[in-house]
Amino acid sequence: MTISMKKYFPFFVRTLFIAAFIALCTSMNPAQAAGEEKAKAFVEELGNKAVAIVSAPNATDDSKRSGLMDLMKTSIDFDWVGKFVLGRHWRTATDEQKKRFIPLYRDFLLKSYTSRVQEYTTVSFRITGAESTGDKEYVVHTEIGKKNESPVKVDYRLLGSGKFKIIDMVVEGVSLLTTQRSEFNSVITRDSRGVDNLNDLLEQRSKEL
Amino acid sequence: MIFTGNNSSKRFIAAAFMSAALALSACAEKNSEPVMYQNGDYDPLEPLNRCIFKFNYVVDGVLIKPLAELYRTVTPKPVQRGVSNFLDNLASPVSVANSAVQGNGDQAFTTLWRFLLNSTLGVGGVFDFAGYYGIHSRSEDLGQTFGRYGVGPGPYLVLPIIGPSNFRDSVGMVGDWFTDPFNYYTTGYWQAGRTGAVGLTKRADNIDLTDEIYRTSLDPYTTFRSGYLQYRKNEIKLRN
Repeated sequence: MTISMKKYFPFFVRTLFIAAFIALCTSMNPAQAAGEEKAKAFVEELGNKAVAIVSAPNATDDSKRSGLMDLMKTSIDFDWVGKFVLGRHWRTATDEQKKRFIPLYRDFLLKSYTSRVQEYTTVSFRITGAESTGDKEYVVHTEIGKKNESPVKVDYRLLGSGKFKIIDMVVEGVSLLTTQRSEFNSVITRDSRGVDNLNDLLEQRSKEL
Repeated sequence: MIFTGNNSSKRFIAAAFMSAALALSACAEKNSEPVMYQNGDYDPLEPLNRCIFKFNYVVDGVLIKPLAELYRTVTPKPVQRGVSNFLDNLASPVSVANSAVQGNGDQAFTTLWRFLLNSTLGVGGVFDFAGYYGIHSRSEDLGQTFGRYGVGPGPYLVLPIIGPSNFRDSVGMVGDWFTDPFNYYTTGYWQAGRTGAVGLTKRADNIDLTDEIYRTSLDPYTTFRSGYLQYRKNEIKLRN
């Protein structure tokens, strides 16, 4: 190599690397777009299943409730959600508290979201869009319409690629996960027994729902 | 009733107001404890807010919710919708002004157009004529305008009777009152009646939601706070 080449060699190499990186990035977009389509399909399928359960011809309140709970059990990532909803208290909680919390929280979620099945009339829902919000994270936008009322915007946050799990539901800008995290934080910090108090309350409330 | 009743009913109303004032002043002593910043929600007045929250819960349970439930069951659905349309229409001028100040000319014109159409062809706003033809808009208030210009929410506030708010939005509410053309050249009775009607219809609209919150939440105060602050933040972010 001549002296001038040596001087500019790093520059060329850097440019080559940058070019290769850009090529790699732009070639990632088709994969992202495919992911968004899959995410939309996942939510669409889930919605259809839920509507089918609620509007089945000989469905009883019990069958509706258990059907919806089964659907939720397989489509929500309870471990991820449980860890997130405890926030900073997850790190300070003992293993015993954590082991007690996750199943109690799962039970509480399932019961609280299906306790009003008798009021779940057929609603219309439509997917209005989706985007990727990070590595293996997607948001799917939907609109849920009840008759004679203006449609409600509900976004589902999903984790995964190919196969997905729901990690949050955002209704008109209000994230249920964020709200619940605030709620649990309050319950933990306002009682000297902390996470134990939360676990007790979850257990007690689940029985009533 | 307040202004024209006989002496004993006037005395009753006065007594009711005084006991409410006493209950609220009991709340004022509660804020001698240190402040807290909860999970991203700025709530330095939490003890005071919780006290007012409890006060609101009692007043709601005793008076407001029963009235709202009565309204909801007794009034035919079309009449309820007509009342809501009428009240929403009255709120249009303030919305137009705020959309304009936010620099959203399109939204300002759409809201103005809706107001003109509904007030005339919609018979005083009772029929949502414009909405039937697909002309929809978002309502804007001064709190949202402040928010658009970068003003943060400030401390979370629970206002007596009115409920969740924050410092910025409360100031905005006062400003909206002064910029509302319908508060000029109208009588106090009319304004009080309108405020009462708005409160009642809003309460009737959210009965199911608030019932759900009280049924499932482990700490309703925090659920309302978190939900309200997120909702306002989203309203400020969204444009038509």
